[in-house]
Amino acid sequence: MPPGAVSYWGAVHPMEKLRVSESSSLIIRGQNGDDWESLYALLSLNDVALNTSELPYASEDAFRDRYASPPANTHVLIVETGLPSGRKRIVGAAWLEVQARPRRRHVARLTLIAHPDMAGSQEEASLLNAALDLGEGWLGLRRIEALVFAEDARALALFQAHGFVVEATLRRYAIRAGRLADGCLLARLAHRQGEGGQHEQEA
Amino acid sequence: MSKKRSAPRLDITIRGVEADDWEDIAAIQAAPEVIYGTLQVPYKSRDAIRERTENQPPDMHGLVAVVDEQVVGLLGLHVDTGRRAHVASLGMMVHADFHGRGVGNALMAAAIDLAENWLAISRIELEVFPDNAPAIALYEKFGFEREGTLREYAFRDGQYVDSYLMARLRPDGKPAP
Repeated sequence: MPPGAVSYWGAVHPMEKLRVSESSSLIIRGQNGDDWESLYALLSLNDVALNTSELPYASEDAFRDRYASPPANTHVLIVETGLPSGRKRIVGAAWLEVQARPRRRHVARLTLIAHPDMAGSQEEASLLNAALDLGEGWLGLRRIEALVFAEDARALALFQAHGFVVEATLRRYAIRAGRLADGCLLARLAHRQGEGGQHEQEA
Repeated sequence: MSKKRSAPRLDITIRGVEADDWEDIAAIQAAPEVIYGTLQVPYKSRDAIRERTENQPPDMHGLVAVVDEQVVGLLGLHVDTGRRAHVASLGMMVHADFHGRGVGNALMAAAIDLAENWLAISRIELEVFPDNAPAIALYEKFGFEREGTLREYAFRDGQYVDSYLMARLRPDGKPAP
């Protein structure tokens, strides 16, 4: 785990206890009951939706149906930061969707979203590292894929700094800001990473 | 598909998949060559194949190639939604006894006509194993281009193997062949 991040296992991981109480107000945890409402708010922000496959004017009901109780092969990580009031605020999420086809179960598709305030921050990198730790260190995944818009330079840089390689450029991948935009398929192979395998590699 | 074959020219009919086709489809899927070249698994339940054939999802357009009342090839065109509503992904399989005899060609021509002239699809994508030369040749003939190599894409006969991602973009302003 990266410094400052907390892996939340229902209880705080014993190794991380000190870090929590010292400085970090960042918590990375699984998805609970009404988290979908915060995710809805997050994905309704233009800057966030732009780089996803979300549509504007989404119905809350339809959103809840899709996001409130993810299927068993989809692992969701939620990032919360503490506010001065002591309350928590959800600022990002990651979906790790293990492929259902029998011959592709070593593969997952990873999707990250982050509040614009968090974009490019250490918190965002912590979220990515937590998702990689879960996928490679606990689910035994060999290959983690991500699809980002070719114009989304920040996301490309983030993934590339964490061992992902652009494998393909998909022409006319999806509509973005009113026109067809290309996408980049990135992948990271667990066994191609540095010593220790599942942990973040030095860029 | 330029190789000269001694086998006689086949009379191939392309039509939409019907529930009754499931037994022929099961026979196609059971062949080791077909399993090797696709993401199928051996020992697949016939019930599962029947169930899937009888209940095609609405966004899936299934085409079959028929020779002498036997289904010898199957193509699925899956249309995406939302911001990818212009995209379809394509998968196909041909009965092992009918490889190299124009079945894939006929299926592909029909699928492109359906996708580009009737469904307004402007991007068709597919994955193919790099060692499946006849399939790659067919796709290239129909204007698919390689967009990349996906490493360790799938497990096949005891090994993790790569795959090519290929896509065809609808030529602007021109009706498909």
